[in-house]
Amino acid sequence: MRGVHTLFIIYAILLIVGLTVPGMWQPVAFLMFYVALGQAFNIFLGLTGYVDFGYVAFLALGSYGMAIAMDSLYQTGLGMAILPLGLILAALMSIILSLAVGAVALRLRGAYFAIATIGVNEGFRYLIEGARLWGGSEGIIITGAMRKIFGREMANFISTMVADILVFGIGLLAALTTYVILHRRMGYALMAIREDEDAAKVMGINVTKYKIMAFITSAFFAGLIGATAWTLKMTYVFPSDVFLITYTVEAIVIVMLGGAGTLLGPVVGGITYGLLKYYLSVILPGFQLLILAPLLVAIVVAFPEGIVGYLKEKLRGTRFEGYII
Amino acid sequence: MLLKVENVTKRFGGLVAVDSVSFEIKEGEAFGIVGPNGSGKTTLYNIISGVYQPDSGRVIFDGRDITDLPAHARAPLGIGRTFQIPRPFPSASVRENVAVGAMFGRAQADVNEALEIADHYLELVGLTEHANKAAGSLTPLEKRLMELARALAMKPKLLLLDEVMAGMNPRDIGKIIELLQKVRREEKIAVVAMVEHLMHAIIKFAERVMVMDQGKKLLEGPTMEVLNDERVIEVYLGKKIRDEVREEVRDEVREGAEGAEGQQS
Repeated sequence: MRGVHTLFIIYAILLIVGLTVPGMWQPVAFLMFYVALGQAFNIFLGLTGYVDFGYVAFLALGSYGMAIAMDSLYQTGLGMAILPLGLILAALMSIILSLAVGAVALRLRGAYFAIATIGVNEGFRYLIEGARLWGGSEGIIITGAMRKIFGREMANFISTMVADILVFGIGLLAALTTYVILHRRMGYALMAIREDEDAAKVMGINVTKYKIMAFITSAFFAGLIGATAWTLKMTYVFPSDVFLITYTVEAIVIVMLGGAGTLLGPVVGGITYGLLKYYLSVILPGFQLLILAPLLVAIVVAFPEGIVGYLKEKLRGTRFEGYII
Repeated sequence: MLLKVENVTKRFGGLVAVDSVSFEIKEGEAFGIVGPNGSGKTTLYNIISGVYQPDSGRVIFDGRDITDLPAHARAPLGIGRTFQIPRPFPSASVRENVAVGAMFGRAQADVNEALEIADHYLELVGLTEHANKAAGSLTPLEKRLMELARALAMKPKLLLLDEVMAGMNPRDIGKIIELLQKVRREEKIAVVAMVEHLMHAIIKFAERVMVMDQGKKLLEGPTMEVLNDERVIEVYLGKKIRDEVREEVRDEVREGAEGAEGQQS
């Protein structure tokens, strides 16, 4: 349980800094998005060792789920209930996509899976734009719908405050889910799959089942992040914004940097990456990627097990062992 | 019969790796599979454990046709195995490695139970002091022992050992055989040991052996009888040397047998 304490302490510090230091809420929310993104992706990439290059599609579908709920229900008078309905629709849409992708692609191994998923986000984007689905390339703007549902003040509050708090909560929930998985049979099964899939099969592990379970769980949280961090916060969804592969790459970097498969890795990775990106964009605007990319390569080469993985190994056998997991 | 392999054939392109092989293994039996490199032993293991599907023939385990069953569905029925080149889950601890066997094999234990079972078998194979080490950091020999513990933790009815004694000194081999006989008696596990060269080990261990050569079953029967057969000697040494060393080999085998009898009584 001590590992969870460390997790709670880091989250509490973030929350306190954001709420008490004037002007810090938005920077903290910026970091929290990356932490939550890392936590969600870690459940798949970290626990199974499979790289999904189309991961952003789950966030995108989640953001569409929320937008569709707002856009089609604002006249029903359901009021506040539309918010949870939007979250449910977001989660459902991501889960359905993960089932469809997983059922086909998760039968492939390692690199073949990664290649098969590359097209998912771009494919979906062109489907939406080409078939004029959900507003086509114009997307869905829900600024007006939100005002009608919640009133101007409340709509404002939701996009500046509630959305961020929800992202915070989703990140925490994803982390706790990771903790639970790690300590159950599923965690051991995924470890075995990550380390040696053929041996895992012979040991009696239904590898496809466990991979799909991790994939769905990860997609579920991704959908919720898309619905809150993007739709509720921005009050619009454009296909050209939400299907960007950049987010997938950022998620990979966060998980690898922090320590794939560890509980605290995405928190450390998300905060480190977020801070680097934020300050580099202030100090050297326009150059941040040029500096960040080689820096990250260096870190991943020097600490292939990530920051938390490295610390965990260093602390093995000492009394601090349980605090870093 | 615990295991019936019926006319199993497996081809890889033009190569017939296993050619119409049939044999049976009884509950709790100590069985040996002997054959030179490339004789199809490992392929046979892979067919029984479900890594490969045979091109023809059937595999019947515990009265059930498992020929088309995927590998992960066979372990819970009671088939456990080790690998010729050990395949630990390297970054997990030795204890966790063994616990995975207990969780997903026939034991189907929950996490806490599985860790207890793991401790038990680690003690049995003498790896208790390494329990918290990363499995990847073990020596090759320790990895073999860990795989043995992991397979035993699955609580199999049939344990397939792939060269588990290779590279061990005679004293360690003696210990492993003693351990295998013990679990075989106490837990009624049929143990199949596959070896390429360790004839004295197989003489000590197995009640019956099957000799394979170029994918085919050459002979099967009581250990001493089979290993004394001229055809077996020929497979290993070739026709020419056969006659020269026949006497020598026989003497060696006889000594081994006497040693084994001495141990068993």
